[in-house]
Amino acid sequence: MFHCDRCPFKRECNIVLAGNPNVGKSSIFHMLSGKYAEVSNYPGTSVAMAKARIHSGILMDTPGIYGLGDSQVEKITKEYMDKADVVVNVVGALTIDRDLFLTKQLMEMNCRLILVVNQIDEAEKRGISIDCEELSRTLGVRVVKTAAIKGVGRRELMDALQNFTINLCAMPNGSANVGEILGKCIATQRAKPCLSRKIDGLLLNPIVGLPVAALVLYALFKVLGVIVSGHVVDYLVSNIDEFYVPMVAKYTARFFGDSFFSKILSGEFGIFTMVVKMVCGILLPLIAGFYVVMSLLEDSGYIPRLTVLTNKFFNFLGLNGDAMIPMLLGLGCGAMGTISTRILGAEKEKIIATALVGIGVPCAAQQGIIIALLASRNDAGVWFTYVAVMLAVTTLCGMALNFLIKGDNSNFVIDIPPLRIPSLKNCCRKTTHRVRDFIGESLPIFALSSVFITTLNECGALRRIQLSLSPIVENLLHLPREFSDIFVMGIIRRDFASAGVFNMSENLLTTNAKILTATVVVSLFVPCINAVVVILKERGWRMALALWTGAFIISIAVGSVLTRSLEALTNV
Amino acid sequence: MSVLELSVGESAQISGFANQKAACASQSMGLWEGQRIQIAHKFGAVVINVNFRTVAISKILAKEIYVSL
Repeated sequence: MFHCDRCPFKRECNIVLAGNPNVGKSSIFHMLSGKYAEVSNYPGTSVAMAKARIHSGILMDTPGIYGLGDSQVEKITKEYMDKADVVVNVVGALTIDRDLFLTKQLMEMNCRLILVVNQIDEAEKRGISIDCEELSRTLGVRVVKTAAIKGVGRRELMDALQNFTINLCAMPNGSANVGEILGKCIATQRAKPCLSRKIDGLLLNPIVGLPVAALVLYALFKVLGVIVSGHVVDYLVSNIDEFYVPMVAKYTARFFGDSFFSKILSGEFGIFTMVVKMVCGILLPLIAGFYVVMSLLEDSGYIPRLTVLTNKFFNFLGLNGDAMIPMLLGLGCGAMGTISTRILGAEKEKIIATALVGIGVPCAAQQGIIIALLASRNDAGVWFTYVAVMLAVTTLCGMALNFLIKGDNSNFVIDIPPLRIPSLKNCCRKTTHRVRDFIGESLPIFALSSVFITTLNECGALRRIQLSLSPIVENLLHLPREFSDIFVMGIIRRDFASAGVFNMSENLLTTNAKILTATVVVSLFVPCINAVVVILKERGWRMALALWTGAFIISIAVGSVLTRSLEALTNV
Repeated sequence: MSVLELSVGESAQISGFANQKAACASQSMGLWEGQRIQIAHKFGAVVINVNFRTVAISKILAKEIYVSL
């Protein structure tokens, strides 16, 4: 049992994992607690605190920080460290020269430290040896070597935690400077050429790097649009339509007749019909496929390279390459993308990134459906038009916000981790957790939405909404009146609306122009309810309201211009 | 001279910083006075090899880090 020696009541002690980004804190957290924590090969993977109980102590995993400064993430992490009985400071064996900067700051705060030198296996592969005993003597703290991803050093770290009160009799020695420490404790026996740096020579070169980025995008399109959508989704949807839906309709009709309850269960918008079809038939295979590809990219370390390549582009939008991380997490979920804007250094950047994630970055489920929808047209022009419109709108929004919002930008500084071969086990684990989270989060909302829309339909309100929205839907967007239902769905969740468009594409959205307009409108539509809640919390009600209204107006305006342009082109 | 003036492949030693903000941003990434660095790329951002690590910094920050050959 871990108890705190400071407390006379022998209460549980708080153990805080702290360190620079991408040094393996979440791997250590998983190694010690057995509890899942998302692990990736890029800085900024953890954006929120994770907690787990280990031997009656509370272990807390914190987001990575470079120092104890004034940024939002740094302040939050510092608060946790103030409450900590022991801080497990994780440093990377390959990045120890950078990471000891934070260690020194923690010592100056008089934190009770255990130093963990992680990724020791990678250092050894490169012929770098770290004398942990000397490091321990120099700093005056217990030092443990680990390779957390392989479970190496678990017992030693557990021992160190159980005996930390004894180790802490000696105060950390904060006087030695980092240069001296490195000189004493690190030896490079044989400098091995690093393959990662050779590949970087190509990936960071725009002539090769940009086509590689396009190729990655194309591979994502192929996997989701052709393999998952063309085979898995088609198979599931046709079977659900052919066998499952009639069976459910038959049984609910037998037990509940033509009642309102029967409509809620198996009507046009029923829980066991429409929701099951959308979640199990369309969304589940698409988001699973998307997450597999994303996990491979994340674990390979390709993302930070993409960040460097896109830095110049982000500068036009008043951001820097760091904004790639919220954008990327926004591709998973808008709420997560908004939370991760905390890593950005300037307030102006946070506002712009939140707005762009809210408007121009579709979430994983939405993207899966959009790719499937566009791939079904078998026309490369449709795909390119969609990408071009979305990029143009996002760029223009970013440029406009950059012009309107005054303030300085932060310095772009990012550590580029070595390229690694992704672990299949980690990819599968990450995908399983993300899919499970998605189902847990979306299924109840989808079910409630289905009840809500069925109720509106049954009491005639849906018809009235359709009529009141018809000037927008029919006159401005040139879409069928039934598209108004998509608006109602989209206010709740954008992926729900996209799944609705997918359903509608079978019979109502018959031309490329209509499909493109509907897809663009849904992609740019207002943020989901959960994203709005996070925006409210992070940026305040003014920003949430402005973003919601702005997204609505932009989606309609862009849809209206696009539909007219496409019709004019078709007529030509 | 500054890091920005170095060509790709060129090595140099960090000799100072233009201001405190640049010093803090650099030091948090493990770039201190006296450290030897090598320029790897200069597209989009300045990519630097330092010890066993690779760091990318903005061109503005690269202008504020002084080096001697």
